[in-house]
Amino acid sequence: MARARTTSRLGVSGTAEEPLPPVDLRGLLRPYENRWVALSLDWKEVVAAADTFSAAKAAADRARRPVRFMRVLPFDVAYAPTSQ
Amino acid sequence: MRFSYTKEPGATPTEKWKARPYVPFTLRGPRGSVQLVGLLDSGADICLFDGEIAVAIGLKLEDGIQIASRGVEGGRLATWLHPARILVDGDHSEIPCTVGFIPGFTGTPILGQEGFFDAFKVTFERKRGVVALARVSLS
Repeated sequence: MARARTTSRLGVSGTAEEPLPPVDLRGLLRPYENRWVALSLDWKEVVAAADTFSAAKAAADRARRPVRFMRVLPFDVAYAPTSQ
Repeated sequence: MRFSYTKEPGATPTEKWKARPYVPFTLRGPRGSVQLVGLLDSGADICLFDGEIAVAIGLKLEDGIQIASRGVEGGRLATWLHPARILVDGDHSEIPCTVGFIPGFTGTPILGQEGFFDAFKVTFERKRGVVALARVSLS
């Protein structure tokens, strides 16, 4: 029986059995610690980056490309949400 | 939907990476939407976002319900709750969700219990590097 795929976008699969491609952003994100990045929808390119979300969005808007935004966390800490 | 854990850089180029359960989704408000990558956080009471994201989706921050959020170190941050909608990549429909916005929030977008974990059965398989989301009925 055919099984519907949800999407072919990286990191998403339609069946429980298929292996998933790894999402390895180690090299891509290393220059952007503690910044907002606008990633291309295939997660392979940083289209824009800035210290704040609004600045990253403005830069991405100027690039006129569809993007998704990600906050790059500090590399030297174990992350847990804090109020500081 | 299933998503791979995302490998992020460690502290140095030679340090082992950090693998985190991120999920791509769209956050929709009354006048706009943004595509984001959010961290699944089963320990967070609500979904939390930087206050600037509220503006981007057409919300006026101070029009929301103000609460305080408390982090692991015990401090408090002013947080404004607003109704929004979340559409996970690969899902068939969006979920309504009351989410919190924190001005100056330096964390990553967080997908927490209220609203998000109400709508999905979330299965973490860290050993396999996979997190699975399955819609659940709210009835």
